[in-house]
Amino acid sequence: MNSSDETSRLSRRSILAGLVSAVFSLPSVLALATTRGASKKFDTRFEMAVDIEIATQNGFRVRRPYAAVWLEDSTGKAIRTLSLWVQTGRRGPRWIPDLRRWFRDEQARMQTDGGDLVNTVASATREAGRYSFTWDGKNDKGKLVDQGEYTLYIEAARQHGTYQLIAQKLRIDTRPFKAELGGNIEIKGATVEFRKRK
Amino acid sequence: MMAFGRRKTLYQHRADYEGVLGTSLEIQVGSRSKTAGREVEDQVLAEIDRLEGIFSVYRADSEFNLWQATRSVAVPVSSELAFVLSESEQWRTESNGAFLPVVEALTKVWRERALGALHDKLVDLDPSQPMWEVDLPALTATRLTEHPASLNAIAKGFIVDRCVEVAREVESVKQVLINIGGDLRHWGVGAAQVAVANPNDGAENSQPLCTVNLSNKAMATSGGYRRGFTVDGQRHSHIFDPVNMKPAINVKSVSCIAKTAMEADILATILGVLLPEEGLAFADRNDSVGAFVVGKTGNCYQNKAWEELRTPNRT
Repeated sequence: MNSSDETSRLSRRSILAGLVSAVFSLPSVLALATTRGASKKFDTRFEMAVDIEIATQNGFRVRRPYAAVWLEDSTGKAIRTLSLWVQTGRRGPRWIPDLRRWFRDEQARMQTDGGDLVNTVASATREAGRYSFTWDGKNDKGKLVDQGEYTLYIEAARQHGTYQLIAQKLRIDTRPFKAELGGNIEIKGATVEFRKRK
Repeated sequence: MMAFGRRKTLYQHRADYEGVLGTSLEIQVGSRSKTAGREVEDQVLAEIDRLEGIFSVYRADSEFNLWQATRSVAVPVSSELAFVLSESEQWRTESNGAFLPVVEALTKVWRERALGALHDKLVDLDPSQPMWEVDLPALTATRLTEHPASLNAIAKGFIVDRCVEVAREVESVKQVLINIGGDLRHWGVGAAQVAVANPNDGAENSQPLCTVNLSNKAMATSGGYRRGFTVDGQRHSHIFDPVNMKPAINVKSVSCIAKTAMEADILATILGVLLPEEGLAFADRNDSVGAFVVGKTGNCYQNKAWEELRTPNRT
């Protein structure tokens, strides 16, 4: 990593910090929560659901943007990737740095699928552009995290196209909440809900 | 998995779209050339556009909708429409009316009820009545029914098949996977590892109910958990049971494996209205048809052909 990269990274950080505070939509309730039981583990009676809707133009198809949905802890360390969509090309997946924030220091998280085996999902017909993800309170290694403050990131990008980032601070304890996250040019809208497990 | 010496390094191309036939489209191509994947993508999109112009129920000017405006006359139709209409009629008879494209009439009534219509229009469907007559050699079709029909439960599978056909024609393509909104088909070397979504947990990253290794086969899934109607505060499946003319309640989700996506699509639709045991028995009429059923209480049922393709659970 050279120094100009370092600089751009730092400036990006400060922009992100601005974004994070700007997007804050649950400030009073969540931020004022006491840190009682800070070392308590995530309560497994709960789960967090993230619903996103990809912006589509009515009646027209769009290429799905590259996107990543993940959580970071209060120190800014990525702890769990809920979803990652990238385009593959040439030999194997192109883990595009276009997903700038997710890509930062996540090379270690890359998973390489066997070349012969492609993965896909069978389901009843989905509605165009609607995707849901849930978080069970575990990190990428499968360990339950502590209760506390986390930030949810929804990042979307297109090669040679736009770059969008939604950030939402969340206080994870034993109080349910629901929030609408503002949309952007790629993600029409998103909601996050912390709720009792169904 | 296949393992020939020289064939480890296929160029992989993947493309994902939203808003294709009202749902999502996933294309995965393995080929020996850098450009074949792109070419497959272009050809697949062009083929979908062409077929949407034939089968769409949403486009007033689709060939199917124009044909639906006629009745009791033999109308010249495209070979694609003739084939799909003919297969529909054949499967209606074979399934004793469990496969019935004219349940669209019920869909229309329920859509109005969901929007607040108070009247309860009576729709009198007779599953034993032929819906239309097709002359395949002459490429004509005569519409007999008075009811509106939808080919959604068969055309999507047919379109997946056609996409695979055009993809494999592209030079140096060795492996293709087409997935339109959850209905899919694999062709070529290797296999696709297919995760079957849990109808009780619609999240993309949730644990799948099971995974299946699919090689040169197709899979379709039917279930009321993604689409439906809310009437008087109660949610109903968008799938109708032609026997009692009500939203299907016998199963939560059904997945079928067959040689073609069209057959898988039809079978999933049929099993989607039958009881689990009846459904598996229907699937077993053909040895190579795999079936996996999630009953209304969440119990899972599978036949032998399905079990043989299942991969061990990763927990």
